[in-house]
Amino acid sequence: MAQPVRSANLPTEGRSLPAFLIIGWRWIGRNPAVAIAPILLPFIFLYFLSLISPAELLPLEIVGAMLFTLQNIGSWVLGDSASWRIEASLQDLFVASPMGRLRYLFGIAFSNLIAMIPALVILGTLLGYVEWDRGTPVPFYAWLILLGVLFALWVLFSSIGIAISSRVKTQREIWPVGNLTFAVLGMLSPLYYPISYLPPAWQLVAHGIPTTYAALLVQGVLGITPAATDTLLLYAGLLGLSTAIGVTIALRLYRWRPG
Amino acid sequence: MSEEALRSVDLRKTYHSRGTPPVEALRGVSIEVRRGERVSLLGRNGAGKTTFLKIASTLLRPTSGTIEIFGEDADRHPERARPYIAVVPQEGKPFFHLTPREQIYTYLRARGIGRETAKSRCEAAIAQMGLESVADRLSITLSGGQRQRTMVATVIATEAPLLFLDEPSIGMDPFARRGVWDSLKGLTRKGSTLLLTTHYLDEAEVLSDRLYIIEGGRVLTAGTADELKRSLGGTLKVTIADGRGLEETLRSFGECVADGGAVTVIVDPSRLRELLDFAVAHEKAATVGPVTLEEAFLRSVGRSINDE
Amino acid sequence: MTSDVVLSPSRPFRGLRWFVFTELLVQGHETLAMATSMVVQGVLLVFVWILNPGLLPVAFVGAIVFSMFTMGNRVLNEAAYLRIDHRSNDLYFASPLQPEAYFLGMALGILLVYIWPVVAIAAVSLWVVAYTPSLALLLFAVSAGVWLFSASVGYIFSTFFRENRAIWAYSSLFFNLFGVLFPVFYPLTLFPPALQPIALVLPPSAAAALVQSALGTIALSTNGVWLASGSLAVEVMACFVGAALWARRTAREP
Repeated sequence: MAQPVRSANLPTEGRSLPAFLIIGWRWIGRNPAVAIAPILLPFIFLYFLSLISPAELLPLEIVGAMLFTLQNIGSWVLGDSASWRIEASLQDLFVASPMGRLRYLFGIAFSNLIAMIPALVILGTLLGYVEWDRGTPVPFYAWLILLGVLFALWVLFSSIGIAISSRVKTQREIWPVGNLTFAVLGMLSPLYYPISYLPPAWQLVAHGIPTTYAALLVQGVLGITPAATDTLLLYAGLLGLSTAIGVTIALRLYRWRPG
Repeated sequence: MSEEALRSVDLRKTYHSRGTPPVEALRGVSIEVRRGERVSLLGRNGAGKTTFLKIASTLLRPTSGTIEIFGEDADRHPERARPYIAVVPQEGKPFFHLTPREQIYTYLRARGIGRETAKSRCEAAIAQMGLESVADRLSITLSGGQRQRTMVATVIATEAPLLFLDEPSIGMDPFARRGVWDSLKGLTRKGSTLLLTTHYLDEAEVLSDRLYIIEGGRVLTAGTADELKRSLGGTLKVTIADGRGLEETLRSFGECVADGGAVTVIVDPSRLRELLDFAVAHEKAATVGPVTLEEAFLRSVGRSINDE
Repeated sequence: MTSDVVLSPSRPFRGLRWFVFTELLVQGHETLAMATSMVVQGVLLVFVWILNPGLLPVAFVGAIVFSMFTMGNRVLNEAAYLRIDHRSNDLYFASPLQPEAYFLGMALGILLVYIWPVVAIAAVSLWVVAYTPSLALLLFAVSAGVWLFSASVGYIFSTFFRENRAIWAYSSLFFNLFGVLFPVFYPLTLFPPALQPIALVLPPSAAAALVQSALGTIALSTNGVWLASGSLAVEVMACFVGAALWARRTAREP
């Protein structure tokens, strides 16, 4: 039996960050709207909601916009993952390499996160200012929890986008599928208003959606919708569990190498 | 120690899709590629070339059979084989929002190659593929041939020991094709192994140390281009205009193919004079030329189709 | 050599009927896209229902106007997709079909398929909107205008894209900016007064303001009515003519 060729210049493991940092950065650098859209979209909805809702909901709506931004990443990841596979056969290039499925998928999610960071920074600054202005500055631990929640949502919704993208067969399907999935998830969970505003049956449905735990956890930690520590821990646990399940399902569903 | 870079044994692949009967794309393909060889898979559309290449490059799982890359089981342990391979996929395109230089560099970095090595290999591949003038233009603005050269450059730059190229020169002009051929020949001189599929018989002849002709998911014949041509019974073809009625005698010289009124005879050089004398005696015009791979391919595939 | 083929003189919009038929066949398979065409409107209506149910009548007529507005997004995506991925535009442009018929045929085909979810929203709106014949007629007229405007703009935009992947960002920005940020789903009076004239000049919010005025939700001055209706009419005509001419111009690369 032949022995594999060993060479120092033949790495046996790929690397995601150096490649997808360039891929993501160049994408937003060369398509300004790609960077601007994720920044403006949450503000467009935020402005609309601020007009039709009571003023005291503003901090909640800002947090909602941050979660909405991370939720929307799923749609972008879905689009990239599907179009690179369908339109350009680029996935094949990475499959037949030492990179590996997990690194490739992480790379796609990471390159899309780059485009969302400006929006998150602006919204975070706005949240800090609004809460400070109201005399309830956001404590350090709340920022940490908010960051953790945003990270979990990034992982979760990128996974959902990736899982769905694998089943998309043509370019035309990408937009409607992404639109349906992520807009419905956004509508069902109480991102922009307290869950108590929802009819009881809807509240029940909303509790089946991970974004609800994320929203309730952050709202609770910030004191917008007060909740007991046990309840917050429960939300955190459920969010973590949902994320783990999401990643597992994505890895099982994603067709890296069809059988 | 065996020198095989790739070995497949009785490889089969059946595609199943709802509402349509299963399609047997590969029906027991056994192929061996030795280190440093350039091997081509020739076949009509749908013959199974790309399916084989996809399985060999770990993009697709076979239904049965075995496939080994440098001795590693590429079906069960693809992750062990992948560091040693790179593929130019059929109809593959570079990232549209990157330049060829960025495309090659990022791919090398994704494969775990260090920054400096990636940079130098990237420049070398750009030069090899003649992409200097467009290296900093967005791929979306490149012509089809330039995009294809970018894809080939991306894969060449990996310096992987085994390269798979599915229709590598598709869409390229004759000059660009020759440039790619030279580069691919240079790679094997450095020790790389190539397995490619192509529709271009001239490309297969120029590039390949050995060829496999595939039809209906089976290997019909294999060998060097010369061996395949010799299998026809001669290295010259004599086309006799209006040779109707002479076929019986002409068959005694070699294999005959009637094309309208003309009859083409494959003949050994030792009997050429005799055949030409025969044509002159019957006052027939005759043209002589070398047998090409096309005749070997057409006869091989044609017989298979007739048999079915 | 003689030919039996008789070529009729080139007339504008030649082949329109056939391209509408083609587009109908194509879009008829897009059941998923049809089903999801109301998602954003649905989400915004739910927001209004939860946060301020009193605004539901305005939000419903806004949803109808917005739905007609987003048909331009379909035209944009379809025209770009056919050109970039399939090069079908070349197939049709190198034929007796006139380029403006290609554009309008596509827009009409999309309208005929995607109008049904809008009809469904209009039917549901009967529960919350007190329609009078004149209000219904006005809503119909301004919606038609908004459709023609956005289809024209969508077609023109589509010719500038070289990659499908970039379309989503630009189109979502455009359609959400002018359809959600500006007063389409909410009354014009909630919009900053200094910016209200701008809203009256932009077709979706101008159309919504006219309907809101007829609905009695806002009191639009005579000047406001003239500004909104005049802008809408002029912009619709200008964009339609512009798109037809642009279709002709871009049919052959310079």
